[in-house]
Amino acid sequence: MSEKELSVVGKPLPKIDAYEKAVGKARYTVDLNLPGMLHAKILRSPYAHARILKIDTSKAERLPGVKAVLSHKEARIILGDEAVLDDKVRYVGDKVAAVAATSEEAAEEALELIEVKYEVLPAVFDPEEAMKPEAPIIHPDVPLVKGKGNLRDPVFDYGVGDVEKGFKEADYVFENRYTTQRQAHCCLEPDVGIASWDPSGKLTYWTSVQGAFIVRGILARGLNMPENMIRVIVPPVGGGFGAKYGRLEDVLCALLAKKTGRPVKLECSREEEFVTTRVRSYSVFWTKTGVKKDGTFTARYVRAIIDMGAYAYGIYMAQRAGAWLITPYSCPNCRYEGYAVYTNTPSSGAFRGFSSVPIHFALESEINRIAEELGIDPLEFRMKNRRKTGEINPYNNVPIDAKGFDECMVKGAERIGWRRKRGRREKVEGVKRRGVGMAISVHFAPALHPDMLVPGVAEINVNADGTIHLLIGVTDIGQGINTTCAQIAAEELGVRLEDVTVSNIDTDVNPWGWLVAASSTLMQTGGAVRAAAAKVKKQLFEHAAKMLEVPPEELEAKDRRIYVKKESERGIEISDVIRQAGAPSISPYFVDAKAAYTFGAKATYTVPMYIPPWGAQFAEIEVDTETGQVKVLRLVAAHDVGKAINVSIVEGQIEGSLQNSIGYALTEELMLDKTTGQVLNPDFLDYKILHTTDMPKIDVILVETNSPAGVFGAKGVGEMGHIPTAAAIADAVYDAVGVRIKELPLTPEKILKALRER
Amino acid sequence: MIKLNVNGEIHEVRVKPYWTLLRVLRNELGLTGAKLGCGRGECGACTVLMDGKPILSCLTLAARAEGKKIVTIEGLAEGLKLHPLQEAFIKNGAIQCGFCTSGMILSAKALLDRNLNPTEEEVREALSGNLCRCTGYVKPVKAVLEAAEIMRKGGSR
Ligand code: FES
Ligand code: FES
Repeated sequence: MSEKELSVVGKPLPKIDAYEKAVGKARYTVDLNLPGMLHAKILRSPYAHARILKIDTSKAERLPGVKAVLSHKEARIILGDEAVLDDKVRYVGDKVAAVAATSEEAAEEALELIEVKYEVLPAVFDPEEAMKPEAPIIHPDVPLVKGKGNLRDPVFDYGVGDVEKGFKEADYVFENRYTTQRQAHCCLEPDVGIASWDPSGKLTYWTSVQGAFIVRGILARGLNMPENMIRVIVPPVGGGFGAKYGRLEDVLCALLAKKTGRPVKLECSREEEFVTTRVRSYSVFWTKTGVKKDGTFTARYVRAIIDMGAYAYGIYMAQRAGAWLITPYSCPNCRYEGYAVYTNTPSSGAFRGFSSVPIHFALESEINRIAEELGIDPLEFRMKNRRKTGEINPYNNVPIDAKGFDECMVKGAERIGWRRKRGRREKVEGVKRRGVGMAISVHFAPALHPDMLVPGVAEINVNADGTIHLLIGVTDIGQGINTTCAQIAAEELGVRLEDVTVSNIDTDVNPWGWLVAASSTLMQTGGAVRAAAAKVKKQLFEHAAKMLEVPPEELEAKDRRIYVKKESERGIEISDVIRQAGAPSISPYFVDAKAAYTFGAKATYTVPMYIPPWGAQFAEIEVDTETGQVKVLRLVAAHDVGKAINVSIVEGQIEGSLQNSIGYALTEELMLDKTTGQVLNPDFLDYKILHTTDMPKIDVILVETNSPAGVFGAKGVGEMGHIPTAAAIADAVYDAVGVRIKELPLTPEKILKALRER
Repeated sequence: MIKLNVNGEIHEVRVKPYWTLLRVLRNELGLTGAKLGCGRGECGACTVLMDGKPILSCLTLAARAEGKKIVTIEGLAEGLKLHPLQEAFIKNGAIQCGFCTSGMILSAKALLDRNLNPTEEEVREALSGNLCRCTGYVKPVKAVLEAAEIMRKGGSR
């Protein structure tokens, strides 16, 4: 379908859930209260590594208002390497016990009455330390690599060609070490859940998550219950970004509700949110690159050390980061080694740009450095080495589709004024210097990994008047998937956006859906929505064809009407098609009866091939050489989005990613005390995310290449904007003052130190 | 027992002396549009207007709001007719998860009530206490500027 024919897709229509949010009527999980509801609080460990020798909850239980206390004695339910409550704690903030009481105050007071005797164990906070044979072992019962401390088995080791041979063939070999810090998601709505049991033994759980069916699975396994006896309802969600894919706290909340026979609400404080949400991992990258004088790569090698923290949610990160070494640039010899290591620190896990963000900082910074050393412009260097369309990507042996990659680089460079500004080391007012920098990004799309090839599912029910109800299995966490899917359904069926209702998730009603993750939601579920709508359209056309006396193939649907393609005035309203297909009735009450089951469909859709989203970002910054402060003046983000189903939503995804990633580059770091492992800055005062006044001028450039893998040509765009920013800003700092910072974030202290040592 | 004037209605509420205005609004009056994002005055999600000024209701004791006029996000629309700021936030895609939205709109309203012709800088300044993790602030700032323009042209209030 060519663009001109589209009437709903491609339009910057208002989000369908924006109205209730604008007037304060959207009820988030945290806004819900049930009659007789209790409030739960969790006692968290003051030690980074300790065994619980004794726990006495009797005083807490006797406190007025307290209805239940749980410890590992009743709740040592293990999923993977973590228990709901354990007799061992593995980071400062780990769960020790939980209380449900009639008020939050009583619950909090009760926590203080729980007596715990700990045997404090030696702890380790740094992943490179944790790999030493003498390091204290955090998980003796999981597979570890022998003699390597807390290194989780397996080590991921893959690539193409022979890097040793490649290094021999190189004119130059560059080596470096980069580190990236822990980043916190900072969803404005902290984690929250409400559990309620009914006497039939059914559990209902309201929660703020980005994977309702994943949570149902966790509850079913944790409580050893059949899935149909668990109903997970997801009201509007106050942000996700990878943080909210279910946690064992969900099981804990359900256990408290079961024990008391009353609904229980478990609400995280902001401090708990900072300490216990699975952060973006602290990571270390050792890079080694062989190049010819002309800039051709002969070998690229990375060893990635991923700090998983206390529990192994971050293991995928170590597994997958090599994709971003191998995919974007041509090089005959590549090798990736990924190490996933336990430490006594907050667990790491998914966060927007999962597995991509940290390694892109290392690799793209290294690309900029090598280009500079060879005297080649970084933009030219990338143009020369980027993979060409049709080339096989050795990561997954699938031909690359690099359409849009060059366009992102060229358009972005033009907009920032690359040729005029790069390499000028421009002086402004005395101690200030300006520079520009760049980096590119590539990311997941479903079909990169077989285990991400989860089909999307959608179901459409048709009303007699031609309006529809769309049910999908994935959650709108603010990213606008409900609106986007409604647009897709409306487009395919030939109705208007306001004719489509999309309900939030209720696992008793909606079809199954995976996580909102890996930039896959639109491509998988959106594809299913279009397929379901196409089925319904076919049903409608079959009926309309008889009425209009033409074959169904000659029909088209648009703006609530089905008409003959070549004679557009010959048509019929969709509502009339449906009503006339219904059973005749003399009662106005029953006219719609047959329509309700004549039309409607369910469909699944699997993305056929991996076509990556590409992007390039350019930063213009100013460094104050006296204070070391970096001010971002402008950020240009050019992304191949395939096709923007809703321009405003797509721009919003990129703009939000830039807020997240400029913070990652400059100010955001979850800091731990080096001797105790305690989080030092669990609040918005000391953990600095960007405010309105900190944001630079932003230019979003949408490149549309119509991906053959995506619905209406779309690609996943939720994460792309986060990926190249830090490397682009670091490169701009180099352009301004001639120092390359290899450890994120780029704090004034690091910049001043580098300037002094220059 | 205190008397609170919220969105033009007088409510008599029994409160504990340490209860914050946010708690009373949300738990006693059922006005959940103001959100608890941090409870420490750092995020702005709990912003409401007190005598026309934006305040952080998570840091304000309910008792201190007696005798003042409180406006929450629920009090902005007239029946089903939206305030121009609400219209502009919807139309410009300024609402993603929406958790910061009520605070942002109220901070913006306080600005526009005293300055209908703000510069972009002034809008950014007025919203600088309202954290948003979703939008990068681009569209909220644009929405406020657009609402100001509509209101200058007489588009109600
Ligand atoms: S909740 Fe009041 S400022 Fe965050
Ligand atoms: S829209 Fe989600 S925090 Fe602002």
